[in-house]
Amino acid sequence: MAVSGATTRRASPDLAGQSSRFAAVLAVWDFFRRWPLIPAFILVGIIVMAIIAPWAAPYDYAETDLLSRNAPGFWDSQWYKDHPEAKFHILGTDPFGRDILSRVMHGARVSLLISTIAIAIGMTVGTALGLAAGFYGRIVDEIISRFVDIWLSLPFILIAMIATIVFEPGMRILLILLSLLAWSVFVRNIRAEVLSLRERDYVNQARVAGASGRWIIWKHLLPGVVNTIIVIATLRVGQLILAEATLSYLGAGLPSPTPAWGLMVAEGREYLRLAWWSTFFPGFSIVLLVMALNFLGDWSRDRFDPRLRQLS
Amino acid sequence: MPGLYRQLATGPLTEVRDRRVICSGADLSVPDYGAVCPGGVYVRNSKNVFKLGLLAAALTAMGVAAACGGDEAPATTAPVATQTPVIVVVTATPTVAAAATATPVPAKVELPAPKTPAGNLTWAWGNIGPGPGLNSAQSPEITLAWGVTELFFRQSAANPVEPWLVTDWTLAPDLSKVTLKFRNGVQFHKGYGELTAADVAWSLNDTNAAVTPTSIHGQAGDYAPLFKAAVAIDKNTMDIPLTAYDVRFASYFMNQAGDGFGIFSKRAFDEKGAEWMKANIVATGPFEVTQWTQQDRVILKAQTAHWDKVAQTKEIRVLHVPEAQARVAMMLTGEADLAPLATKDLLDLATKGYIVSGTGRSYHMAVPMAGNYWETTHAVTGEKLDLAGLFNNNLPWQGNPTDQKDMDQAKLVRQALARAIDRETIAKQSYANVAKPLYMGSFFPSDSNWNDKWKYPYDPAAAEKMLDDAGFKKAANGIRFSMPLFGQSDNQLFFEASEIVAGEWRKIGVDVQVLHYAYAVFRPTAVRRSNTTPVVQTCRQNNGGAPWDWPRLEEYTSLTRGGFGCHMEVPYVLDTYRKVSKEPDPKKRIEMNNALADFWFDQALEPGIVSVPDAIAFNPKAIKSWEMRPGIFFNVNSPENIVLAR
Repeated sequence: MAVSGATTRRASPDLAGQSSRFAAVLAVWDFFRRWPLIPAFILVGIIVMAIIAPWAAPYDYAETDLLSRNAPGFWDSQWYKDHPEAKFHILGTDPFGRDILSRVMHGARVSLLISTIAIAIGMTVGTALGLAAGFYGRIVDEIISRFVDIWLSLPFILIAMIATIVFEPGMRILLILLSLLAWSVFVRNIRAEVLSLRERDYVNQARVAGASGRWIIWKHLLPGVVNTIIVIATLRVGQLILAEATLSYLGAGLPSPTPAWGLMVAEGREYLRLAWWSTFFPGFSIVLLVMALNFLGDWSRDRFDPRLRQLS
Repeated sequence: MPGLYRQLATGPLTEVRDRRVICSGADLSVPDYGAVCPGGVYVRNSKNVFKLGLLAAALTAMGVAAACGGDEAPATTAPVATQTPVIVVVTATPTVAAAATATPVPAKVELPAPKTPAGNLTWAWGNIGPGPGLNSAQSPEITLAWGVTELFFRQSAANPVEPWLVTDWTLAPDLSKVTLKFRNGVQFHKGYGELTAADVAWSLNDTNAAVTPTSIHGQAGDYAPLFKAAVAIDKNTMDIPLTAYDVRFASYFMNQAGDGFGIFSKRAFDEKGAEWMKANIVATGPFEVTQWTQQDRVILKAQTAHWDKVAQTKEIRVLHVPEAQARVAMMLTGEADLAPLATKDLLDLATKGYIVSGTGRSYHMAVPMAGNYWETTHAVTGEKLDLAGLFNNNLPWQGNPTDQKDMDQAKLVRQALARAIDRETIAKQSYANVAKPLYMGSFFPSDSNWNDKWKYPYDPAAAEKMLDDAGFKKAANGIRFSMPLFGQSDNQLFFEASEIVAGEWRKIGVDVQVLHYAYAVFRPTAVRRSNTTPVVQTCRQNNGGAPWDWPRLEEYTSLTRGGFGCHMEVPYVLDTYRKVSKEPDPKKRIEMNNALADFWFDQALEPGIVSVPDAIAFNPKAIKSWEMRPGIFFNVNSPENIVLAR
């Protein structure tokens, strides 16, 4: 029975269909917003590419072939008809005839390996110092905090270049440099977190019960900062990859023929007009990987950061 | 000059033909500067002209092909034929000249209008280093090429030893000194009066490490074994007492074509002091430096009066543009009127109608196998050399002179590496055939004294066998040993060549790590004689086609200690250099250098790669023509000869 003054509108079948499609789109959109599927897919794809590179890469990444130098890729089949002696390369070749696809694939191994090891070292050192500074406070906190302040004011690129010239570029020196770059941001964030955690009741109770400082740090404080560590590590990895690419571009990273993406960009920049693919594909790879890591880092911060959870 | 030279031909100079000096009908065809006709006239090397003629021919042909191959109506541009750079194709070989002049070369792309105001020019240069006006503070030699400083002699089409600041010179019969007479009326910049012999003596002594031990000039070490303190005899006369006479004195050391040094005003130094001189260049050239800012720009202003020639160009702005592609972009947009570029970019711009020119200079790229410091005493002072630690790493290419087995093994390794470079393919594929294979550094196949027995064949199989015999068999991972190779990051030619050579050596199981960083960082190790990393480089006289009878390779000895060295010190080279320097008979000098070539080939201390012309490109809408003089060290000179297009 209709209520006076009130009308009941029944949606037409078309409108109903449209609104259900719209709802479906919204649901899909919401799903993608909630879960970082696209960056995860990119990251997983790059990791898989890095793992299978030794078997799946079509060519030896270091093999030069002057007959195929600056050869274009699949987009210019005419070139291969004009140069029948040249072998086919999907993404083309660099100025020394090296296959771009193979080098990009192997370069993923380099980037991921270096950044993972560097972040692991930096995370360990930074977390330990942050925990100590936050828990013990006073002179320990002063010393560590001031050391971090001084460290952050040093020009990293300049120091890195000097170090590689003195000690010669290589994997070891690069890992040391990137680890030195990675640790400081952990210290500050962990310290801030610990300053809050150490006033909690369970920490005070542990203290009253006679637990040692190390026990409290290991058993009570460290678990409390794990989320923060994950967030920082995820965000930092992208920056380390960019730092490695920058150093390689400047000649202070891994020496040739190691297929570091930054080095590939540097080697191809003289041929930007004539063979853009030498620079484009490694550069685009850097963009993809760093973007994926940054999006994942943002997502993990939204999901795991206790401060954001409290606010929500 | 009795007792110094044996006459090669009787009679006077009869004619100049095709840029070669002919003595009484005998075509000396000695492609070097050292052969002498009576009267001290040298023979011009026409082979360098021919090489650049080939380049110009290739560029012209490509330009014609590009123009004919397109669909667009060709734009009208200044035809190549109207350009007359000094390395003009026309005078080199008639057939090439015909190709160059036959048809105007319309470019597919309209040349840009220059953005620099008329009467001025903008050059995009690869590097603007520090520019002190004091030799001992490393005053840059480039001032000689840019028309700022002047020197004793310069080259011309007819005479490789054309008087410049010097009007006359004599060499003492006992080779104890050189006496030079300077011309009158040469004025210093900034109103510092007329050039005198005292200015020249002071400038030379300030350069020479034998007189000024703290000098860090590029020629400090080269002059030290040759010259004692110069002395001004009167206003126009100067003596240079000699420690040793080198036949290249006039044609190279004191010539615009070679290294040279800057002649600055002693009066300015006395009045203003050393610190002021470091910031101000007071010289005598047709251009004066009004601004020199390292890694930014140099402003050259033409002198309104000059003893020789007043330049048509009022101002030249030389900008620091280290990125080659940025230089290309500036050329394409008209922001720059001239730029030195890599071969690939020169070829590309030539198809668009730009003019490629130069002094005939080439990069002769080779790989000095660094670390072979075999001398034990200083060649000049006699003191014992400190070689501690140099042989600690037992490098495969480095021979320890105290261990003959090690020397033999290292020689085998170097010979293997020399045979693993496919020079012909590199020249063809990487440099579009404008480069030529080079088998050994410092000895050039273009020379008529060249013998093909000094060619290392490309034979990777033989190279691998040699490495096996040397005890470097392949491990399970296919690698025999690892080695570094330096290819400077701020020179695209060396950057690329090092990667190419590394790729070739990897194919025979040598794991090469290529180090790329700036040359300025690397150079001190060469001066200190501590470098043991092979280098892709054009080392010193490798810059030009050194005449076969010239004494050579002194930078590969301890003679130049205190100055630049080519990463090794070899007693046999020192011994030969000294003998050749003293030998008045050119034929005997050639014989001695043939023996040196045999040694150099056998030891494989400097496997060659390729020779690549070093040229610049300019916009014909800005520069109508530029007659440069032949040069070994720089790719430009004599900017006062620029004829502007507007």
